[in-house]
Amino acid sequence: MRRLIGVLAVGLMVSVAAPAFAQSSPAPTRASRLGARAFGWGDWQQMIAKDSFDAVAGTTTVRGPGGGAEVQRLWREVFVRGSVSRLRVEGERVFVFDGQVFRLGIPLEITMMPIEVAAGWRFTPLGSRKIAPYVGGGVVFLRYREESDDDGPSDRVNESDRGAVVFGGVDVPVWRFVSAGAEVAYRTVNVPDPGGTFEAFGEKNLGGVSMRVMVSIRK
Amino acid sequence: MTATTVRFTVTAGVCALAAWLSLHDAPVRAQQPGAPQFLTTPAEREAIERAAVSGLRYIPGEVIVKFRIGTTVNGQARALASLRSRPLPERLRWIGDRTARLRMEDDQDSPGIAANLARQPEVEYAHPNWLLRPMLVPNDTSYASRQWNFSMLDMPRVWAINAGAAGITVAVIDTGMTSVTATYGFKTWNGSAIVTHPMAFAISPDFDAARIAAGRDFVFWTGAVLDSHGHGTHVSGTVAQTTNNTLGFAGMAFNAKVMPLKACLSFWDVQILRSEAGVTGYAPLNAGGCPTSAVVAAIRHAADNGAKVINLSLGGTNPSPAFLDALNYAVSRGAFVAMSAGNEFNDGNPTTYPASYGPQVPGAMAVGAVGRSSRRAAYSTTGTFVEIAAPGGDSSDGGSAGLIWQAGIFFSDYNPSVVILPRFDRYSDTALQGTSMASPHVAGLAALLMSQGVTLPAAVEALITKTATDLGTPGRDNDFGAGLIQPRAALRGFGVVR
Repeated sequence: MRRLIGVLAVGLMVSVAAPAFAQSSPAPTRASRLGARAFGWGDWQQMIAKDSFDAVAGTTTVRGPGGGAEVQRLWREVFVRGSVSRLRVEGERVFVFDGQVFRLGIPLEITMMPIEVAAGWRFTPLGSRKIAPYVGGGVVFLRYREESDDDGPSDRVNESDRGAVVFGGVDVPVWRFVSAGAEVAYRTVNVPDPGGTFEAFGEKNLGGVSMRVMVSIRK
Repeated sequence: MTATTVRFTVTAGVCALAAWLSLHDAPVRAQQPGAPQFLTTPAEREAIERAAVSGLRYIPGEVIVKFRIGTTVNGQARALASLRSRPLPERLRWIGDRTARLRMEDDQDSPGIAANLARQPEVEYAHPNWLLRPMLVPNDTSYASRQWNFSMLDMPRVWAINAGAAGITVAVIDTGMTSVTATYGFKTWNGSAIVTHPMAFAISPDFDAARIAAGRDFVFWTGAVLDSHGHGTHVSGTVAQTTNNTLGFAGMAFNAKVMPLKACLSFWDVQILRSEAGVTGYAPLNAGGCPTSAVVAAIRHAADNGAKVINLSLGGTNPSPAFLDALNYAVSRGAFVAMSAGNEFNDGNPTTYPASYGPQVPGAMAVGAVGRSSRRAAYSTTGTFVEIAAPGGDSSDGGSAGLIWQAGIFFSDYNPSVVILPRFDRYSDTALQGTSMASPHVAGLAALLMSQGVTLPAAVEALITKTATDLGTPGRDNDFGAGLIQPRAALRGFGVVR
C-alpha cells in the first residue's frame, strides 16, 4: 500500500510539475541536500457540495487546523509530504423535499479529517524575499463523521473515502528556519451511494477548494 | 322564566325521574340547558336504519352531487329538474366547493337519482351518499396494558427527540371523543316504552381535557361532541393519550391537541334519534355509519380550523370524487391525512375509499396494519393503494396481547347486544384491532413531524415513506406499501451523506 502511494505521489508530481520543470531548472547544488520541513496550517475549504452543506450547516465552508511534514529534495527539487486537517462544521439534521429544506432542530456536527500523501516540485525562489512557489498532488484519505446528541451506536456516520488532491502555494522565509506561506488546494472525494442531502441534491463529492495559511519550520 | 329554562327544567325533571325509576347506577353529574337539537332528521335516521336492515352501503334517497364550474342557480335548477320530483336548488345542502348533498323524500333510489343527475351537462359527478364504517374489528376487553406497538416503534427514544407534538392539532374524524362531562336526558327504548334516560358521558380520565380542541358534530346533534361507540375514543387515544401521568396508556403525540369531529353515527345515536322521533322499538343492531357527506364536510372543517393532521379511521368500498376533492383541499390547506386501508382482506379484499385516493394526493396516506411480529395483519386489505404500514394489532399474532390497547369507554356499559339503558362515562383498558388502529399511529407520527418542522403535508408523506423499514417483497408492495413506519428515523431526518 505504501509503495503504491509513493508511486502515485511521484507520478502525480511529475505530471503536475513537468511544465514548470522545463521552465525553471534548479541549481545543481541544492538538489544534492535532503531537507525537511514541518508545518501547521489553518484550512478553509469551500465545499463542492454547496447545496448539501448549505442545507445542513447554513454555510458552504468548513474549516479547522492542520499540519504535516515534508521531505525535500529527494531528487532535485522534488518533495514528498504527508498532512492532515481536522475540518469541522456544526448544523442541524434536515429533510429535503423538492429542493425545500426542512430543518429539524437536531444538532449535527460534521468532522472531516483529510489525510493527504502527496509529492511536488519546489521552484527556485523568486526575488529578494526569496518567495518559493511549489505545486504538487497526491491522494487523500478522508475520514468523515456525522454526530448528533442523541445518536445510538448505529446512528453514527463514520466512514472513510478516498480521492485526490492537487495544490500549489508559496513559501516566504520570515526568520532563520521559519517560513510563512499560503496554499490553494483542490480535493475531490466521491462518496459511493450517498444518502442524506447528497442524495436529495444529487451531490456526492466531499471535496472542495481549500485555502491554507501556514507556518513552517525547515531544517 | 324563558322557554329555554322551562324546557330545561322539564327535561331535567324527566331525566331525574327516569333515573330514579329505572336506574340506580348512573349518577347524574350535570344537566345541559336547552332541548337537544338533533342534526339527523327523523327521515334521515329512518333512511340510515333502512340501510342497516337492507344491507345497503348508501343512505336511501340521498346523493352527493358536484356541479361544473360556472353553473348558476338556474343551471342547478335545470339539472335538478331532470329528477321526477323536480326539487329546487334550495334543497341542496352544500358540503364543499360546488358539492352538495341532495335528499329526496319521495325517491329512495339513490343510484337511480345519481345516474340521472350525472347525465346532466351541469353536473360534474353524482353518486349515492355512501355510508362508510369505522374500520375496527372489535375484540374482547380483557385487561392488559402492554402497548407493544409503541415498543415496536421505539417511541421512548422518539419522545426524547420530540415530546409529543406540542402545538399541533390533530382532527379525528370518527364516532367522536367525548369532550364534556355531563349527563343528557336522551330518549330511548327500554323494551316496552320510550323513556327519557339520563345518559352519562365523561371525558376520559386518561385524556387531558385541555388538549381537546373545539370539536364539532356533523351527524348527531348541535351539542357537545359525544362518543357513544368507543371507536373514536380509542383512535384518539392512540394519537394523543395523555402520557407520563401514571395512568393508563400512552399516545403517539401526547402533547398534541385532538379536534374531535363526529361524522359517524353509532347504534345508540340512531336509537336515540329513533326514540326522539317517537318511533317505538329498537334500531337494528348494525345501524349507524359515516355518511360521505358528513365525512367530506368534516375534512373541510378540520382543514379550515387549524388542524395540521387529519385521521380517517373509516372507509367503504364505493368511490366518491367528493373524497378526492376534500383530500386535495385539506392538503392544500397544509393538513396531512392518514386513512385506514381497510379490514376486508378475507372478505374479497375490495378497494377501500377514501384510502385508495391516497396515492393520488401527496400528503394523504393509506395505512395498512401489521401485528406484533411485523407480519401483515390477517385482515388488512392489500392493494396498489396501500402506501405505508403501522401497528394495527392482530389477534392471530399474539392473542389479546397482540391487539392495540388504549383507554376506551367501558364496553359492558353500552354493548348494544345486552344493554338497554346505556352509560358512557366509565373507561377501561380496551383492546381493538384494525387498520383503524394503524392509521392513528401514522397520524401521530405526522403530528410529531409537523411539530419538528416538516410543515408541508407532501414532505411529511415523503419522509415517512423514505424512512420506513421495508417489509415483505423488497421495495414497495401491496401488503405494506413502503413498509413499517420508523418514527425515530423520520424525526431525525438526515445529515449530509446519510
